[in-house]
Amino acid sequence: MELLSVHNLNKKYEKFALKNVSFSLEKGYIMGFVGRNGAGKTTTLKTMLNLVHADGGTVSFLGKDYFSDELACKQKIGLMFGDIFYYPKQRLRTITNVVKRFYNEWDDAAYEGYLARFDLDPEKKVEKLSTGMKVKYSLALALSHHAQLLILDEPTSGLDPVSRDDMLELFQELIEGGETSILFSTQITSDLEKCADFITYIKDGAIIASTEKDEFLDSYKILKGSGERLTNDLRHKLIGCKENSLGFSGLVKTTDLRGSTGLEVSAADIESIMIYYEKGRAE
Amino acid sequence: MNIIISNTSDKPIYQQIFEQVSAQIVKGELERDFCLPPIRTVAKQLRISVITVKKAWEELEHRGFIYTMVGKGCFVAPLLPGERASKRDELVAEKLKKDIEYYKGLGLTLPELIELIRRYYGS
Amino acid sequence: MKDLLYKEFRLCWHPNMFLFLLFGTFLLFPGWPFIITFFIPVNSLFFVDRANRDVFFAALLPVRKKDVVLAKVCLVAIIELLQIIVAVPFAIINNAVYLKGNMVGMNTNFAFFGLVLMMYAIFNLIFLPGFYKTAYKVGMPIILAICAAAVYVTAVDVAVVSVPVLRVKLDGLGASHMAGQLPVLLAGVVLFALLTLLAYRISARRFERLDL
Repeated sequence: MELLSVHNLNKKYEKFALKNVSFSLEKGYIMGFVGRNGAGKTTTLKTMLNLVHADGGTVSFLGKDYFSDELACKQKIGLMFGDIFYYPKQRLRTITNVVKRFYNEWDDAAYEGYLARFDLDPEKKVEKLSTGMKVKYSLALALSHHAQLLILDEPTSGLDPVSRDDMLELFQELIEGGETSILFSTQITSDLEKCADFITYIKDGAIIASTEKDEFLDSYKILKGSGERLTNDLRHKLIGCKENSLGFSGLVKTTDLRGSTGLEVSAADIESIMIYYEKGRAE
Repeated sequence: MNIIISNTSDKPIYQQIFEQVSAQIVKGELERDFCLPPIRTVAKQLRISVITVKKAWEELEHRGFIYTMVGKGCFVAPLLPGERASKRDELVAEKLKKDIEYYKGLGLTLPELIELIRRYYGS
Repeated sequence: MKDLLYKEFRLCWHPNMFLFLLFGTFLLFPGWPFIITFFIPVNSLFFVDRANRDVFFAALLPVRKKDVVLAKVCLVAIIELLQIIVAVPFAIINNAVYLKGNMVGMNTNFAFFGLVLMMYAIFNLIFLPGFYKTAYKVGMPIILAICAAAVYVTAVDVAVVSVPVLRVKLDGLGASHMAGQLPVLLAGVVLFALLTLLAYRISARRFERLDL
């Protein structure tokens, strides 16, 4: 069942614009949101949440129009913006006691469980926490009111590899019941290779692809070959290309693969797809 | 039930799952009506996407290795020994056809191929 | 709304605020200039809020944006009123000590507090909508608002001290002048309430339109 649907979101700034951003997410899945810094990930998330006002477009959540039913929707959404930490001088307990009042379905037991799991001391002040601990605290807050959708902006960016792995395990646990979905943006594409079901890739404010991860990965291949094999026809098909004196390598849509015999074809991962896309076509 | 995923293999993950589970069914290691763990649990345990597991399960069902009971889960199909053997042969045939294509490409004759298989089967 | 007020007091009210409220003691000294210190608590509230990322924190909660503004405006008004309440005893002491009255400016009587309330009203009307234009820039709106308040204070002070009618009516001390001064206090209360409400309305509208 469809949980979230973003349709034709537009937002114009002086030097940047979101262009017809659309994607949707079903119940019980993890969607990774990728793109370069400044590609519009955070702006998309903020616009969806009406923190930034869309020039046009709709967002529907659990069948409701988000923009006209914002408060009810927010009750069922857990939010976390990874690089923003609030009230450094306050103790975790104090902040939690404030936050919990706003949610009808706040669950103290669940919250205590996350504190224990993340090894967080509620008597500590935010400023005394390491970046990783701050992220974990923000997550504990976002997870403790039975949200059906978690929107997490760079939740793993400040974490060490072990904590990141724990986090991904937690994400998969959260969706195991099939009711909760997670939309998270990240720069660490290996995190997505592990656990994402869907990938949404944004570039310069426009969505390049939003599809099942396996399908996304299958729809691109990396081609390698010697320089003279790089014909004009092939050049035209390559999405991105790196050339040097030893040969070339480029990204191609799997559907454009025909006729490229004699070249080495290999599977593409999310990172290489992004890199070639951002590099652009060889001149 | 055992599934071991190789991240370095060229084989897609769903294919790896399909092959391993179907092998266990064909060999009789998974008995009829054995309840497979829920898709989402498998995804969590293997640290892979839910959709990948779903795809493998669908393939298993499509090929008659398992059946689904709505609301209860997926179970190993009640295959008679004869049926198990024919399913196994199906899988073998599929793989052999591909491999034989390759050997033919290398110019191998049937007796040569059989001789090579004999030599290496035990090793 | 009461949850938002709770949030204001638990997370935005900081311990220094008590210290700042003690600036009310400055009324022990004669004259208006010290009145400017009355703005320090509100001033610090908004700077500390900014360091706390308070606006964004509140915007993520399941609350209406205008209620976020209303809670903040309430906290501001409460701080201002507390400031006055703290100052009153010192005004009384001041009057008792300087029997001849305030030589530098106006005496600290009923009318004085009415005029202080009006000063706050002007400050709120300029500062709050100025701040909520960006919900981030604090300095400029504060400076503008304090300047406006200072111009008002100077004008009132000059008028009260130099215009004979006003001087007789508003500068006197003691119960005998109460009849003439109470309406000024009352007018101060009414203006404070009305202009702060207006400030809230404009602020809420601006905040609603803002991209965070």
